[in-house]
Amino acid sequence: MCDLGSLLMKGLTMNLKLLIILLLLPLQVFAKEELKVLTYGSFNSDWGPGPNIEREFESICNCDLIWNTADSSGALLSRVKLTKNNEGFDVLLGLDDSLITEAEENDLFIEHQIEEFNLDLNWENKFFTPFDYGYFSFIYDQTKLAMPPQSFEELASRNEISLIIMDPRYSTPGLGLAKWIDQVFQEEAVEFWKNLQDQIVITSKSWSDGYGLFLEGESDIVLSYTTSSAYHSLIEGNSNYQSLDMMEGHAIQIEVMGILKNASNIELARTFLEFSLSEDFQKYIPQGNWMYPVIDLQNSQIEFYSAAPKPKSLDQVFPSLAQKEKWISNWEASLGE
Amino acid sequence: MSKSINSMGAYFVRLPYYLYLVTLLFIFITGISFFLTSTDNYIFNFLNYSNAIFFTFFQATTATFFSSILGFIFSLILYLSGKNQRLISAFLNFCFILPVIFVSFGVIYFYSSNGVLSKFLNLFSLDYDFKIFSFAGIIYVTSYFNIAFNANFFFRKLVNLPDNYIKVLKSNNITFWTAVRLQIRGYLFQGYRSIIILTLIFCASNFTILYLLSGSPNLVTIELSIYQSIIFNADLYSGITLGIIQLILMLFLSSFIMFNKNYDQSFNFNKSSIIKFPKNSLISIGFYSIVFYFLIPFLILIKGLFNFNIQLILSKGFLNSIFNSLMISTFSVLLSIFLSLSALFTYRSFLEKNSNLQKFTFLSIVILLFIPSLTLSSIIFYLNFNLNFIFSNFLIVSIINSFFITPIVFVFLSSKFIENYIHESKQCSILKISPFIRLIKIDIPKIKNELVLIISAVFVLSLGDLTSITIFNDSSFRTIPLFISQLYNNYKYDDAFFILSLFIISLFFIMYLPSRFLNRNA
Repeated sequence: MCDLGSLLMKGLTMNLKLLIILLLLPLQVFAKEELKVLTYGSFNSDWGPGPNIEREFESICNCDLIWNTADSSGALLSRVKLTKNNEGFDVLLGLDDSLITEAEENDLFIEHQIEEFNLDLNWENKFFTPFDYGYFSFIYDQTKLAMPPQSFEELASRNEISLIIMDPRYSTPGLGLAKWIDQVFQEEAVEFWKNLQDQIVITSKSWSDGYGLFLEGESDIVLSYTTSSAYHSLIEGNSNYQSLDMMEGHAIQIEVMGILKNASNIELARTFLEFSLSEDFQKYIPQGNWMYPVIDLQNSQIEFYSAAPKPKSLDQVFPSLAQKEKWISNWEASLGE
Repeated sequence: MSKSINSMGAYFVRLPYYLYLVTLLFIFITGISFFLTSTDNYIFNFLNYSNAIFFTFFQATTATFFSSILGFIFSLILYLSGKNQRLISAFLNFCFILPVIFVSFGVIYFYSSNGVLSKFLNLFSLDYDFKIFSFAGIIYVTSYFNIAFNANFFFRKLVNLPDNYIKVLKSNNITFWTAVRLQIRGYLFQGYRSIIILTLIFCASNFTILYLLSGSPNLVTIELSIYQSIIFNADLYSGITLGIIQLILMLFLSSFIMFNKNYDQSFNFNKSSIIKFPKNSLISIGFYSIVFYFLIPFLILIKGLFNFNIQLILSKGFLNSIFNSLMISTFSVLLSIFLSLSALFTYRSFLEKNSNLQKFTFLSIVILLFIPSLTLSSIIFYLNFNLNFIFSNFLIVSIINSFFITPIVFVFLSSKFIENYIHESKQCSILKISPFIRLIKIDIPKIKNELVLIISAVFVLSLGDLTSITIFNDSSFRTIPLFISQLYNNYKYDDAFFILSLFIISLFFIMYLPSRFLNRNA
């Protein structure tokens, strides 16, 4: 009786196991691969390029693209540094060129192995591929500022003009301005910062904070990108917001992505990086992320390029940690003056 | 047999509190081990943060000063106005627990360069030069809550003045102001030491206000530095060290009130009769000015509701945020209630035995008031990192929120819970009532009203919190305050104000319905 019972139990257990296997088998067969991408919030917002890029990529990869977001570009690197990417992201999208050296030194990324770049800008880096670029600038409302300054010297000498910038320690545009001032003024950068300090009414934590406050009328001009005016004219039909055309030239910012070291799906991540350099990805950058695409789309994005003409560019800089610290200390030296 | 069941029951009731102690110890050990096991040669550069430490207490002291003075003046005007005292007290309470994000955005909407006040002054060609993203703005918003807190303390004291005293003043032609100056000042300020130190502590831990209104690298507090260290510099060392510095300073301050028995007296409302004072136009003007002052943030409701957006309400982001907010608050409040009742039970049993451990129990709960939320967040982040991220963000945020509201629940319920403990203790002992039955059948029915009121208040506080969620969030895990903040940061102001309006109206009902329920059952 006991043997019969145990046999019956074994049979039931076997059947149960078979049933579970049969039930799970279709799920395994049809389960899609996942690609986890860590990026900054606005990239994957309803109005950013993320949702369209996700749809395009998923249509060719038979995979699920899962976005995870952090506050800003600086916060992205900080998060993977803190966690050593134990959260298992595959791709980090949204570092800018000023963070590349720091990211490389922390040994968090693997080589992308993409050999040929056919880009609109010079690029050579074995860990990161660029996905957009832009030029830092100051945006003003031409109905409020009839005679905009045309150089840094003029800007600093016109004390009636109020300015919002971003904190260079926490914001990449803020650091971009520190780089820009260093490129233009070099040894006299501290002196220039001191001259400008009286006009800075707000130093915000992030670009979106600062830009929002400018739109709310808290200052005459704001640190942003040359492409910001294109957003207002193409989306809002408002051509009052214009970019200053600085005679010294404008500093460039390049945004990049890379494959994280303990990525769970390296091949899929490589496919995504290759996809990012194609037109199917790049066509969403101009009017999604409001930056220039890294491939030449002047024929298909005529409206964007005419609303956001490229300014005179300063040289690309990939700063060392020491250089970055020097830019920040130049700004810090002017505080409290 | 019954003795062993009784002791089992007692252990069962105390279990949540013991589990809490173990968790606290575990978090403390994690914090210590973080420094001991570090392989990096870390040196905390105090000079880098000296400005933040100084500014934290400078702005807190300034805001406390304004809150104290204005709270006192406001309470006198509100009392002399002769208006409905319960309504005034409830209104002040509501203003005190309003979400910081609501008051901050409301104040920005009114005082910013393109705000209501600026537009109004421009109608008369008057210049407007006030900058809300400044030290003045921080003090204004920080004081808003604490003026309400201080005013309520004094107002309740005034309401509790004996009717006969006022009649005697009238019959002797002594003005109320003279009486305040010469006689009742001492009574009004009795127990105020606790309130002023609590105000200072609240003002020092105003992370969200600084997060939204700091417009300069010089306007940085310890909590904002902790946030910046963790989020932007990947520097847990500084985050945790700064948190410990703040904790020590807060503990030092709180040592003045920790065992002050006068503290909870301010919550009582002993009588409801209204004293009629002679009509005075200055008092009337003062009364309506105070009401206007507290209603300024509510002007945002008009703008918000005019921008009704059905698509936004049905959007995945909004539904996801509201679901997360409700789940976090429900879980936090439940956790907090279980923990508070268990701790109160433990506290009372030590009190009955006249054991010194009662002080330890009190301290072990109240200490949560003084640990910066962000420090707790950074330690838990480190713990979770070492455990390979086994805890979900939902669980972490809920636990941190419950830690934040538990001391409030504990302090609020303590006086009523402990009341008559000697008498009840004897009765329970004679009738051999088990601790569990005592809690369910005697204690909870006795504190039912207080329990309902505090649950609604801490539920509102938890819903409006924007602290730990700034660290533990991702694209699929956001709460309503974070959702609003992100809409605002992406300059979708109309949408942000619309959601904020819906949020405040919901909070009002959460606060209002329980009191209606209690009035009906009274």
